[in-house]
Amino acid sequence: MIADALGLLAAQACFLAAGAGVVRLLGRPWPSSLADGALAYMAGVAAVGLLGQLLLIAGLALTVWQVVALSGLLLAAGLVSSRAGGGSREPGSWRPSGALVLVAGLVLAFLLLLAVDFFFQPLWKWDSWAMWTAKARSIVLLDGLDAGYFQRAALVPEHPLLLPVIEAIDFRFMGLNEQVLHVQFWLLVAGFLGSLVALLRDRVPPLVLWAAVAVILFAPAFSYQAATAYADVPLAIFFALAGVCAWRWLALSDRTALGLLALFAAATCATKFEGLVFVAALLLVLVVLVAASSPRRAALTAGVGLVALVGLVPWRIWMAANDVEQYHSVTEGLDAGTLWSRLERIPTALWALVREMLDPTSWLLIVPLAAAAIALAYAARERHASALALATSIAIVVALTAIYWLTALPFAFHVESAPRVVAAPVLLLASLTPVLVAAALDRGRETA
Amino acid sequence: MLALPAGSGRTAVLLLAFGALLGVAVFVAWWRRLRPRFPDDRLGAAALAVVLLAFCSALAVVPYSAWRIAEDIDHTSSLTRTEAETTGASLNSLSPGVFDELRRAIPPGDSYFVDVAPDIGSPPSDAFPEWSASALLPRLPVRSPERADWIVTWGIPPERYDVPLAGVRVVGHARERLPEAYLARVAG
Repeated sequence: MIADALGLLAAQACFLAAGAGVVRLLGRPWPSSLADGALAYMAGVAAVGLLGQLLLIAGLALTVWQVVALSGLLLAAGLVSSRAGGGSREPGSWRPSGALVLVAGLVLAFLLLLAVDFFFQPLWKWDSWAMWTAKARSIVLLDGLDAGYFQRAALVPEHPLLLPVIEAIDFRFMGLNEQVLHVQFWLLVAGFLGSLVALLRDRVPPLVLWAAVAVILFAPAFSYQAATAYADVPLAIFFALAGVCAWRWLALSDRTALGLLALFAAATCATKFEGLVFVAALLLVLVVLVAASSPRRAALTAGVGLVALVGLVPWRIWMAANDVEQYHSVTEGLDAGTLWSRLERIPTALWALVREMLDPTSWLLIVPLAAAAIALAYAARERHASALALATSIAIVVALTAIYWLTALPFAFHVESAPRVVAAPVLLLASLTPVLVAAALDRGRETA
Repeated sequence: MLALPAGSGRTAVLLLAFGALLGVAVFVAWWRRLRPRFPDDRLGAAALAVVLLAFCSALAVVPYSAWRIAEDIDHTSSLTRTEAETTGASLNSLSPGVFDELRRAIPPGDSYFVDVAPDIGSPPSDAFPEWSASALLPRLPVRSPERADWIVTWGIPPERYDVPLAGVRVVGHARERLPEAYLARVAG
């Protein structure tokens, strides 16, 4: 187990090196703190996951040396980049008060406990052993993408491959250890929380930021769903990071954030097909909000939408070229009569989604308090984050309700999957809440 | 998390009660300390209340969540490597030994056709082909027995398929008290 864990860590070193190059290429300075390292790591997972999928489609097998070469190339691209750290920023005031030390200490202790739990976790949920990790095993054991496997053996073959690619890389470095594989999911959780600190610490007071990090980590559904080794939490993590970068681009015109937004949006789309719906909602809202101040910036934002498809479109072309059939299609068997007869699904679906988002046994008080924070930020005349968070969340719930209405799959199946599907909008709201609260606190100080 | 204890019971109630007290205590202490920073400012005070309410409500579940995770670790850390690797099969009432036998018999790269008798209920009947698809890699399933190198069935004698066979054997019970699983080599 220990040797396998060291192998897994070697794979993570590749992701970190690749990500350091990517963030440098996008204009941020070299990582100089744990939080910056976390952001570089998440960028590396996204970039290697996306490019790894393209390499598989091109016929490569993602061997250890191919992954090392890919990571080395991305690192080298950062080394030769002439962009002199345009995204450089000084961290906000980091005077460690007793309260801050307590919150941060609690977060680190809980993360440590989770690390041990994930280290011993077997694959126990159906879709993890039958679908996600099974695809990763096929990449390793069949030496690349095998059309026969995806035609006849893969469960829901149309899901894009970012997560199986990351898992396959882990397997290449450590062997087929499906317990230690869960440490990958723990690293995504820790990397996400660190990335939030890196992306928001110049705009949000430390105590507010660490409190938000703690709330996300302690939400029971977050750690449980991460441990299932399903794609929903990785998808939600990439999407929430894309949302925070979208806010930075909207409110601060941060060009580095625009690059990171493109990367994390592409990773969201390449993780699971719901990701396309989430990213479309986010970018649609963002384009509208940006267009109000600058049509040129709105055009750049719309361009991100094209970049976001970089992992998804080649995968769909590969599927079509290799006669891989979709497990299901949203528009299958649709006609006016069917839609009319399914109208009663709409309130049920809407209620299922909202109920899951509000369920305190899953997500604590994240959503109601995000709603309160949106109202406070609006009162404080902070319109960017409040509009982005509110409109994107509403757009996602409406889009998911429409899918549940249209789908030919059993309605009960969709309602049962609602707890996992809402992870993305909930994490988006949780990630933007510290921005909203900080705006209200700032306004309060100004008026006091 | 495979073995999270159920949400009820005396330990759960005690830990949740302790967590609630802790959350309330921290909320009161921090509110008294931080509220004076926003004199005559309802907006700032409301924002502070949101932060403290969010954190303290999360803090309230930490003792309970930590206990559940520790219980999970206690169970999962005692699993052998083999038990951990076959958890998916075991949870769906499949005997992992059958798949070990199939891996030994079918050479890597060969193809197989898999089928399950209709009277074997779900979930084991659904789990059998799904677990085969992953556990038997790099052997790949095909959709008809005519195209297969091997036939793997549960509860169906392979002789029922209209293909010449070079040998049929029982590879065990995929589940106790249910019919046997068979392996047959397709001739030619």
